[in-house]
Amino acid sequence: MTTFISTIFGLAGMLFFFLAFIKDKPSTKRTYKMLAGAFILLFPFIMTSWVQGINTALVYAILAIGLNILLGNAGQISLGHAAFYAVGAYISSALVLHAELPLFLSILLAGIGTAIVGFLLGTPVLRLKGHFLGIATLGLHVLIYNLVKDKLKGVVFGASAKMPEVHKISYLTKSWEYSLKNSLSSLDYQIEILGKSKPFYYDFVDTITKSIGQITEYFIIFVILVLLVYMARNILRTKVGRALAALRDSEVAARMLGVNIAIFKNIAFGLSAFYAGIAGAIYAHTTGALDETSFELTISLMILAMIIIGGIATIQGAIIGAFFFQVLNMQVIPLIFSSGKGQMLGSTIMGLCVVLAVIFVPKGIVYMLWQMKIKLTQKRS
Amino acid sequence: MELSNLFYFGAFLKNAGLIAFGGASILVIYIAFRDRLKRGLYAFLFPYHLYYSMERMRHPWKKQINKVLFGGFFAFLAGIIFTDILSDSQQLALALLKGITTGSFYALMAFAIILIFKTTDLVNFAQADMVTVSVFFLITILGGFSDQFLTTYPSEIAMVYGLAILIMILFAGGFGALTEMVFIKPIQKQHPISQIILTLGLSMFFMGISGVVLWDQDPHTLPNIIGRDVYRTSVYEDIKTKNNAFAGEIKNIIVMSSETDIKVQIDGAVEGFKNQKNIENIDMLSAEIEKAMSYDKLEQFSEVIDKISGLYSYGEDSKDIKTIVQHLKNVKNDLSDVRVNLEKSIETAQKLANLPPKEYKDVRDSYDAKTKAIEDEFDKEKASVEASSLTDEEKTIKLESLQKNKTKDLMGVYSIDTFASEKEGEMKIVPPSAIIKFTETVTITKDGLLAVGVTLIIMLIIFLLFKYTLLGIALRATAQSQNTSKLMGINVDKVFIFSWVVSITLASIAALFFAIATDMRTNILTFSFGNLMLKGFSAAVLGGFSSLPGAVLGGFLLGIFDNILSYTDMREVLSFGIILAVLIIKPDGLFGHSGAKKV
Repeated sequence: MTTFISTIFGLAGMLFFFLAFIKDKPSTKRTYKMLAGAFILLFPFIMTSWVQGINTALVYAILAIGLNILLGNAGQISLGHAAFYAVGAYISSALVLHAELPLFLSILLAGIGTAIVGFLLGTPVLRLKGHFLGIATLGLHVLIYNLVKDKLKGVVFGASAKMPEVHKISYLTKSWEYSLKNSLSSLDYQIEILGKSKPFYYDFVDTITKSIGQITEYFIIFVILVLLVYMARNILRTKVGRALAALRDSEVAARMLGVNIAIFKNIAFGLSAFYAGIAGAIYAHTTGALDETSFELTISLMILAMIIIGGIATIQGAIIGAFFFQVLNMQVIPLIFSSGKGQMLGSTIMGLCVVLAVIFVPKGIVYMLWQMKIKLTQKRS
Repeated sequence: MELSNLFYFGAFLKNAGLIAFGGASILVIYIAFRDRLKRGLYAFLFPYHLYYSMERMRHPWKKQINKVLFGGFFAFLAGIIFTDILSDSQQLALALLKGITTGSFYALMAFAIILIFKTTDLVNFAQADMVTVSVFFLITILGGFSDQFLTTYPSEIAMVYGLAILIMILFAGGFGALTEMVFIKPIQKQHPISQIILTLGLSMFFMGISGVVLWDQDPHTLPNIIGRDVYRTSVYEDIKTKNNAFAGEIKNIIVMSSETDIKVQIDGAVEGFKNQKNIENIDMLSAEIEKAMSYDKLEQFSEVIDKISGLYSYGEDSKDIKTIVQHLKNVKNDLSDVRVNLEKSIETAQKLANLPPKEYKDVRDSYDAKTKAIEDEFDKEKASVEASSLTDEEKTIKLESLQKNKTKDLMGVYSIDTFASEKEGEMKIVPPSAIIKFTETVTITKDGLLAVGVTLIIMLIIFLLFKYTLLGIALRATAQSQNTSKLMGINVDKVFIFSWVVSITLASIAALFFAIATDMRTNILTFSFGNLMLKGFSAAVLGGFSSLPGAVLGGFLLGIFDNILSYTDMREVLSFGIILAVLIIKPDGLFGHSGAKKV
């Protein structure tokens, strides 16, 4: 029954998003946008089993937006983005554990610190172009990854390699969790000792109690994502965004027009590192234990694949790509494979999708949606 | 030369290199600063300007400064190697020998990458995974022969192996051609970034296909070419099944012992509850615990305990309840300890099952010794307890606690991390007939020498092909200018396909030798990013991406560096440090030359 409700609910949500995208009339568009917003708010309470996976998707979306600024808007490729993800995670953990800064300040500072690291490291690397830039960023990734793995891990976390519960995002609603547990146990008492009948909301309260931490994380990551999307949109509309676009289309022409190529390349690198740093910090504060396998090269490639599949140079594309990947990994692949091969199969399908996308739809899902919109509106008129 | 002289030479190099590097850097910064001072404080804020101003300034020292920077860096590196690593001449000899063999693989790989880059202007990031498919194809062919064939006709194995390698080469060539025609041709005219992304997608796809659909992720062993130990695989499998049986045995022991342990603890908890009569709802609590006992799984038990402690943590103030909750929590902690131990032991057992015979025997012997010691001690204490003048009840209690300690100790034996490195299960056993010994420590596998020979022969063939045949001339012409060569009547499409065929074939041969000659067994990650593939990139960059002889020299240099540094923890970082340093300081590499760039 619950699966049925959540399936219907999820499909309805997708439909709202789609209609909000398709419709042109302002009033209808606003209605569907409000419905989609309601879907976002209600989502964790109805599809509770999905929340954890969607949290990961949101983090990936932040990463993908960052890389998209570099790849789609500035035209510079980076194959080592997972390194900045790692740098952000470690900076934030170090700030929280050793400097004892508050959580959100440390996330912000991690973003800024990673941006500075990216800005400085971008300086030498960004002299290169095309394939060589790819190779050099690959080398950068391996360097940072090895440094983090061998040196930084012990320094930041000590022997335990774990972050205390207090520094996690889910700790913010710990008191709610306790009170929910309390009321749940009083319900238990009434049912089992006093023999009252089970109230209809019992299961609901039970699931919410179990995953209140994840729901908190969902809302907080979502708010951060919205802020970052807003920031990206605004930056890309200003002088910086136009300079980056000019840089992407032709470096020589951009230089002729007075764009300082060197600095704007660095700015693009720093900006995308900022996004990666914030994503890494969020990751650190949700999982609590940093495992170096979460920062492997595969993550960089996956993010790249998300952008290509979702739609290059658009913010929506990055988000759609991240969700595509996560839903594929979380819901579709377990249907085919139940064993441990799933992760690998996910990357295979993503690889195939990337190859097909580059050959047939170089602009990704967003572009397909645009075409669909044009077709639908033409038919009606 | 005496080693002490070498040491002083190294120290000199190190200091001189550092001084040169530092001095040149300061000079560069000074000049840039002087240049920039007119435009304000910009130069300090954005170090990128340093490079640009360095490139733009019309200063006669410019090139010299670049050289000093570059030379200083490498002198510093060499100094570190001389002072810190080469304290042992045998180690040096071994490093050089191994360096030349591994260098030949790197050289072939770099050669293959550059060949594609020169003709088609595209760096193939999927090289490693295409190579994986080829090598696993070979493993499948060899696995197709029955054990009986391999053991009954040992004299024909060499022929079979050679034939299999030939088939693999044909397969690799066809695979390369097919990939070029299906995937690469449609995007030939697109932006370099699209090309990179496409090859990365191909890499993910081929990797997944070989890891999930066609083969698995387990390590496989490729037999040696020289040393005639082809049917080692079947012997190995035989031993592995025996090991597996032993692993099952250990698992049973551990599971049983931990179950009794848990029972004892739960009983203790229940007793504790029954003694506290003055608590309300005591019946409900004991019912909960009884229920928990009937669960098989520990998780559910700890869940119930969570529930109970949640029930009584808030609102109530009674001391007794607090102590009981504390007790329950202790029980839970103990249980989770037991579970961790259990998991570790099972892991150990599985590791044992994958261990090569020799190490396996050592480990098992040590385990047997430890187990025997524990059992002996237990027997002794048991005897002493039985002989003592206690009542029967006391005796049983004491014996129980002794038994409990014994199981705990036994579990301790199996859950110790006896394994120094995680990769033991992936190590190969090299048969003695496949090794040439110069001294006791300086050894090399015959296959390594063969690899060096084959690399040199291939290089010679390719050199002759490029220099003297029509095809080679067409390849070189296409590398220079595609449009002009089209006008001259060269079929550029065919040239592209040919270069892919040659490249994938060479890379497959490199990977084959790499798989045979290294100590690790082969799995699908052996050649991927971070291993052979990036080493090939690194060698190519070191030699200059545009020069084929440069790739070969770069490969051998990188191999030697790699093996010399393998005694420190710098090894992984080094090759990528080289990529970065070379690309930043001297983008054309050691032997490359920069041409005019298209706009």
